[in-house]
Amino acid sequence: MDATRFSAEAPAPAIEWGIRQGDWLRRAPGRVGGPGRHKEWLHFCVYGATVDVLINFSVVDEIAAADEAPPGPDGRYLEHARLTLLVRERAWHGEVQSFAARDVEIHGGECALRFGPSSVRYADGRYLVEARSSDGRIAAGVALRPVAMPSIVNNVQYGDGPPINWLVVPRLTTTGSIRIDGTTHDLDGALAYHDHNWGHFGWGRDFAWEWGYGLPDDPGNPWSLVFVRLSDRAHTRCMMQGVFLWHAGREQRVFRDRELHVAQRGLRRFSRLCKVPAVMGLIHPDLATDIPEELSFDGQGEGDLLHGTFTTAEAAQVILPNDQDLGVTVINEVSGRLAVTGRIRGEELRIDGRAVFEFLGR
Amino acid sequence: MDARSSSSSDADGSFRSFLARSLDAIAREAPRLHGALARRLRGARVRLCVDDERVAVASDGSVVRVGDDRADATVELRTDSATLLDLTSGAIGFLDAALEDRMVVVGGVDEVVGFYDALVLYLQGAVRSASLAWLLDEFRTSRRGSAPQNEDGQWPGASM
Repeated sequence: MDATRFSAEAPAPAIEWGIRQGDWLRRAPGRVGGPGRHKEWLHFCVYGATVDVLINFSVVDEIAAADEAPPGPDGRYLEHARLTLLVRERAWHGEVQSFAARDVEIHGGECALRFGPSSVRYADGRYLVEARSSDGRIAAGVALRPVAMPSIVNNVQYGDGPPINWLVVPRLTTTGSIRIDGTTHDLDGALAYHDHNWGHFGWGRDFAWEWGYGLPDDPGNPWSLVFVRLSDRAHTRCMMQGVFLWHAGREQRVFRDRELHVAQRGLRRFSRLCKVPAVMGLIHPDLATDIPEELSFDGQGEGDLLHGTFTTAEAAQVILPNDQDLGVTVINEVSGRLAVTGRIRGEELRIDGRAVFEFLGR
Repeated sequence: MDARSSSSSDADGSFRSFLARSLDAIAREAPRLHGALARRLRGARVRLCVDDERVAVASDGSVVRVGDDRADATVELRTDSATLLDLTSGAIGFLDAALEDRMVVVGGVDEVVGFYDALVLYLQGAVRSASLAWLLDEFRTSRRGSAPQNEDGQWPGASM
């Protein structure tokens, strides 16, 4: 089964409806006098044959420490737009760009924004994504067509803060390319992943997440997987966990909480780490991380079985200043291999492919 | 002449201008950190030597001021703008810059430790100030001697 045939089998009208219903920009209520500390981002990852591409458009309504964050003279918070653009050839490299308000267009209620020359727009059943580094050495232009139903999760309560929300599109097919230092990498046919997160929270609070998404190397393999685990910052108390599985574009099974056992083995050591924004490397120069060498999960329930192992390879660190103290929050973007076997509703499941797992707060 | 804010320091591409405007931005956008920096620098007499520029930094405990060079500095940093830009772009870290003699700090132990603490506070303020990315981009552009535009003629978005 090739990717095109698989796409044709996916419930395209339902996918389109789901995305139109859920994947629209909420925008920060603080800009019109509402509460501050809102964060929202659109995240895309494309698994190309020769390169992985990670693009994240984020909007936060403040940067300064929470107890001093000054709303504007009219009592309203300003939105700060940032683009994280990371590419992995042999290792990750990239940057975080900030944009002046005059260069930012955000269309609330739609999935459409522009940060300078970079943009996202959902139209005609595709996410049209342009992303460009500030020096022009990296330029991606892709159209991402969802071929799996989005999953929306609202009002996830964790710790003592307000809830967070997300929407996941686990599988998209790509047309387009990326140019890196003069070399053009064809991304036609590559599988991709997308999520959209929003909510009010401060970096540095007592929470962390492990968030992974994996797709098979064989685009004809109909399985897609998303792994989510929220915990306290010390990783001693799990607040929720789940493995979400899609088959042929439909959400097929969710292993939740007590159905799932998660374990980590070893600690990955790095001789080099890509750190963005680069200047944050001066504040957080450490190479030591507690990224595991392997993360494994076992699911069992209602006659279904699942075993998966994510083996880490390369990492990039997105480093964010904490909102309430002088520490930092590190989002480790870790590429690696995902191997999953199982049996769901009597059908054998096997995924062998690439994955990116985020380990936050380490 | 002392300079506290961007209003009293033109964007002339000098290191002094960049430093004064960045301190002004931190005072405006991360005031708690500017206050901590001012308290940490109280009584210190710092001389910064970047390329051919010599500037003094002093604090009365509430305001950090950038002024003309003075001979009675207790701690001195010597570097060049290329090193500063390599540091902020992640090309090198403080340790490598020091080991390669691209950044030299001279002073008594207590003064050097205090200066390093102040430098970290400055950086903590800088990464929490939305304006710093553009100020740094202007400084970088002034060192390249080209207009801050990409090939489409657009402001490219500051990378920091």
